[in-house]
Amino acid sequence: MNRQNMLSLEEQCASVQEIIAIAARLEANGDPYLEAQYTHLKERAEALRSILEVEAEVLSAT
Amino acid sequence: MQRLDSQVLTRLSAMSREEILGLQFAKLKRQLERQYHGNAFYRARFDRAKVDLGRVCDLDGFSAIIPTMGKPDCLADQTANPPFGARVGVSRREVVMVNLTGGTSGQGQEVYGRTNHDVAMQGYLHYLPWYLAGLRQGDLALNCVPAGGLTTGGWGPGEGFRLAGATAFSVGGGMSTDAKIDLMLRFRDFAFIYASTSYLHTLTEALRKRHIDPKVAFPKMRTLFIAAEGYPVDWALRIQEFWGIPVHEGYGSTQGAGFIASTCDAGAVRDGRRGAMHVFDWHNVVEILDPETLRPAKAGEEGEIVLTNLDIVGSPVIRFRTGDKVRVVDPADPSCSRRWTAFEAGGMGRIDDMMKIRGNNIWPAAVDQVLFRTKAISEYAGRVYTSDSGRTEVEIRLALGEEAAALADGQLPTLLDGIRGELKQVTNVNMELRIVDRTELPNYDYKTRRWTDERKAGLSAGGKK
Repeated sequence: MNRQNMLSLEEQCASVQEIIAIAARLEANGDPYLEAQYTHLKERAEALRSILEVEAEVLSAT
Repeated sequence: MQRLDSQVLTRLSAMSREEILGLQFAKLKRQLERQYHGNAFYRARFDRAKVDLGRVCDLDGFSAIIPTMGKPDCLADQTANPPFGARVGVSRREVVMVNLTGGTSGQGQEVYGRTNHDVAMQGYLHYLPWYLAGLRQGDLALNCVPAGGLTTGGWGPGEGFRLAGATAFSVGGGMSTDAKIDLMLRFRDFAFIYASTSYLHTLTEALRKRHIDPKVAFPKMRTLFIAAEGYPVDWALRIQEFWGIPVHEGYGSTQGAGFIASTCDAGAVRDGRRGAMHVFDWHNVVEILDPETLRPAKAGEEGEIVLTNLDIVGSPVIRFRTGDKVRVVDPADPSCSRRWTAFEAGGMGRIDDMMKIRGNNIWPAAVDQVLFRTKAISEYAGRVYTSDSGRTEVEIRLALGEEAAALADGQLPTLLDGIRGELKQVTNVNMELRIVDRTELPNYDYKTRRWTDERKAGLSAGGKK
């Protein structure tokens, strides 16, 4: 690996999960004008989570 | 093995077969539960088949308990619940992209409503095989596949190149082959080409004619990535020799929302034989089954791909019979370290008589419907072949019926123009029509086979010095 201090997959998954939670909060309570963009952000992050889920154990934690 | 600067891919590449299947099954269980509780189409299907999801304890149980589905199920659902079908499984406002199948079967078009999550996955499912084949951030990439439209193959590549951080030139469609070569010479640093099998052949032949050696003209070129059509091993070897780099191949579909499998480091040819395409088992379940018995095909045997999406939210497929026929490669084959489900590269076929022509799925029945609507045509024979310029062409030889004799002067050309236009409309392919005497066509009996596919012979002959 060519990157110093790379987060583990589990840490990356947890960080993406935080993004999903933040985007969901904005989707529900943010400016309606930006609602579709918050949904976009949330769904993009959910796709990232799908990509990072490479351990069966990680699935049960998310 | 090529260096993979990715924890995700390094870990997936190092997993044992049991670990891969364990991951796949965990995602499958989640997908089945999600669809049963959130998708009326699957809930009805599972209830009708008296499926108890609690009894799906492993992949064998999945195959035994969950019913297969196909195009007719999708079309019936769309008729009953227009326009997306209950199978879309999400609210209407979540659908941000609509993909349709070609509609060239004569049966109808499957509708796929995709969410933003799915659009991101579509891009990723193009980026993933390209990364494995060597595409990296900043690479100049020539995308020869027509962009846009309603197909997954029109949108996925652009998104995939964007995810890669590659500098993409989407030249498919409107630009001539010579203009593409001129553009390549102008920018020179191209590292990656994505094209259909037949278009890579066309491009290669055009370079030969202009006496351009790609090894000299494009010194940074690393990867040729093809899809959509099979090919002989000799052809792939000649292409590799001419370009001085490996040919890679991907297998994908609209139902898969992108690529489902791709070749590993060895590329499309390994030790003079067909290489293997490795399935992304953690994004789809690919069963390769005997089409008659629906039992799994063994290594070395041919079978039909039955597809289940694990990461698609809008209009997912569960045990969808694709009609695509492949030859199984043992995932334990020691010539590759990946333990993913595998099948032979370059040997894709069909269990029915569908033909893939320039990216369009063509069923002979659709052509029959156009030609036999008029009694002026008594019989025909279709031929798909590779022209001297490397282009896939279709010729239809027509024998006229007795009613054609009654046509007034000038009516026959009008009739043929009408047929030509209708064939183009139905199949999206231009077909050359030639009138011949009935005696020049075979006498068909019992199971009519009016079509011959001479493309592989054409690819074998093309480019030989």
